[in-house]
Amino acid sequence: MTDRRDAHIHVPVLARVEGEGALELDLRDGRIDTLRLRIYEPPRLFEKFLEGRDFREVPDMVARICGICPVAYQMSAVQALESVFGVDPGPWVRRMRRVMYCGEWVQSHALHIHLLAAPDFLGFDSAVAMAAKYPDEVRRGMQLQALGNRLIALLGGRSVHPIGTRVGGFHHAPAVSAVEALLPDLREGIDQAEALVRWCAGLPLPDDDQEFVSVALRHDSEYPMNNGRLVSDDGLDIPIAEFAQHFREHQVPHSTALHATLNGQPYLVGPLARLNLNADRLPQSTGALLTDLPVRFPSHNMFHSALARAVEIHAALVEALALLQDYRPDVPGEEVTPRAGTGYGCTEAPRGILWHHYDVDDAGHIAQATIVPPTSQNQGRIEEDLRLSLEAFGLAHPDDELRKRGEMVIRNYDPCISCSTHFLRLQVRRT
Amino acid sequence: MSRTAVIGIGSPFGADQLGWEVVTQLRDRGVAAELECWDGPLAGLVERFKALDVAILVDAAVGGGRVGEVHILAPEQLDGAGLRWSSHGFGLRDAVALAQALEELPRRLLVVAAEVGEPAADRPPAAAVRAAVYAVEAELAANTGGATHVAVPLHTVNQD
Repeated sequence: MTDRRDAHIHVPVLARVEGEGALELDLRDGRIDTLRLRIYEPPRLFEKFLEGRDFREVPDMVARICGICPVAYQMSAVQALESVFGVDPGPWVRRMRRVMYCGEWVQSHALHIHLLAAPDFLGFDSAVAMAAKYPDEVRRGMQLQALGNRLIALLGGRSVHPIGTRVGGFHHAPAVSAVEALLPDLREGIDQAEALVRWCAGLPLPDDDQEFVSVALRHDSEYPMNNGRLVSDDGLDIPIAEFAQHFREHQVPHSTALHATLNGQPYLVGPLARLNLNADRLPQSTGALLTDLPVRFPSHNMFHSALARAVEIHAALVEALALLQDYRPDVPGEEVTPRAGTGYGCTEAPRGILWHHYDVDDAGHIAQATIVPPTSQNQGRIEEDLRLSLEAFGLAHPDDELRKRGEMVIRNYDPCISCSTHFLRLQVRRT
Repeated sequence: MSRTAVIGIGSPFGADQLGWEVVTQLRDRGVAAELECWDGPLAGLVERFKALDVAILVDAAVGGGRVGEVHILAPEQLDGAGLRWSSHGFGLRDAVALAQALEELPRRLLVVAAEVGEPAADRPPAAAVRAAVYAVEAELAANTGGATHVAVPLHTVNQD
C-alpha cells in the first residue's frame, strides 16, 4: 500500500437499489480530490402530475412515490390538505393514523436492519449469507416486518400503496375482531423488539464520531411522527410552514435529486436525528430500555442509526399496543368541503422529515405541489459523511476496502435510492 | 390439513399485471387453493411461506423467449432466470433463497413464469396469461392432495 497514491474509484450503478445512483471517488496524492454520490435517475415529476388533480386523488397518488414508505407520503399530504380546508379529523383518526405510521416504521426499519445494514456490520455479502449464521435474528426481523405490514393493512386495506387513507380521515374503521387478532402479536413483537435493541447495541459498529446538525419534528408530549415543530440541535425551532424560509433546496450537476441545506450546511434527518432530539419523548418502557444500553443518545456516531431504528421499532410497537388495546370503532373521519388556500404538511417518514406544500383552488384542485423527501435532504450529509468516514478509515486501504466502506456508509442512511444491499460493479482507474 | 397457495406477483400496471390476472382467472375458474395477489416488497414472502405446504408463485418473465412460453422453475433454478426485477433490491430469488436459508420454504415451491415479451405493454399478452393459468392448474393437480410428486420443469430459461 502507498500513502500518497492516486486512484479513481467509480461504482457506476448502485445495484439492487430503489433508484439509480453511483459513487465516484477520486484520490490524488493520497487525499480525496472528488467525492460524489451521483443520482442520475430521471426526475419522476410527481409534483407536476398532481397539478390539476382533485384533492381526493392526492393520497393515492403520492402513495405511489414509494413502496416502502407510502404511509408517510399520505400522512404529509392529508395533513397539508386538511389545513387548507380547515378540517380537524378528530382524536380517533389521529390515533389511528399514528397506529398506521407505527406499522410503517416497524416494517421499514426491520427490513433495513436485517436485510440491508446488519450484513455490512457482520461481514456478510447479503442477508441470505447472514441467515445461515444468524437464522433466529433474521427470522425475528422478518416477523417484525410482517407485523408492521399487518398494522398498515389494518387501516390501509393493504400494506403497499395502501388505499384506506383519505383527506378527513379513513374510508373505514377496522372491526374490533381485526384489532383483537393483532394484540397478542403486538405483545410478542415488543419482546422481540427489546431483544432486537439489545442485539443491535452489541453489533460491531464502527466508532466514528462526526459533527453534524440533527433535524427532526418535536411534539409537546409524543415521540414525533405525525405532528410537531421543526427543531434542530443547532437552535432551530419553527412551525412547519416556515420550512422553505430556513431550508434551501439547490441543484448540483451530479444529481437529479435536489440537495438541501440549513443555514448553508448539510444536515441529518432520520432515526438518529429523531432520537438525538427526542429521546425524552420515547414511551416510558422504551426510555427505560435505553438507559440499560452501552450507547448514549444524543450520539454523533452515524452508525448508531441502526440502533436508533431498533429503538424506534420498540417505541412504535409499544405505542401501537397502547393505542389499540382499548380500541372501539368510530366514525372514521370528517366530510370535507374544499376551498382555496395553501397548506403545509410535515411528518416523520422512516428516513426522516417529509415536507409537502400544496396550493389548492376553490374547487379543490391542486394548483401547485412541492414535496421534499428525506433522502434528498440527506444527500449532502451522505457526501460529507463519506468524506469524513473514508478519511478516518484510512485512504491507504485497497480500493476494494474503500468501496466496501463507502457502500456501508451510504446504506447506513437507508436512502430511498438504495433500499438495498450491494453496489454491483467497481471500476478503478489510477492516474 | 395441507395448505396450498397460488400467489400472483406483480402490480396493477403493464405486463407486470400477469401474476394478478392469472390469480383472477383461477378464482373465476373455482380453483381450490388460497389465491392472492402480491404487490409488496418480496421480502414479505418469507413470512408468508411459513404457513404453506405448497406455494406456486406466478410472475411475468422477460427472458427473451416466445410470448406465452411458460417456465416452471424450482427454487434451485431461479438463479439467472429472467424474472421480473425487484424494485427494492430484494427480489423473488432473494426471498426464496432467504426462506431456504431459514429452512422455511414450503414442502413444495414452484415459480410459474410466463414470457410477456414487451414489459412496457399496456397489459400482459392474453396468450401468456392463458398459458400460465393452464400451467398452474396442472401443477396444482400434480402437487396437492398430499402427493409428493415432483414436477419436471417444462422449460427453463437460460441459466448462464
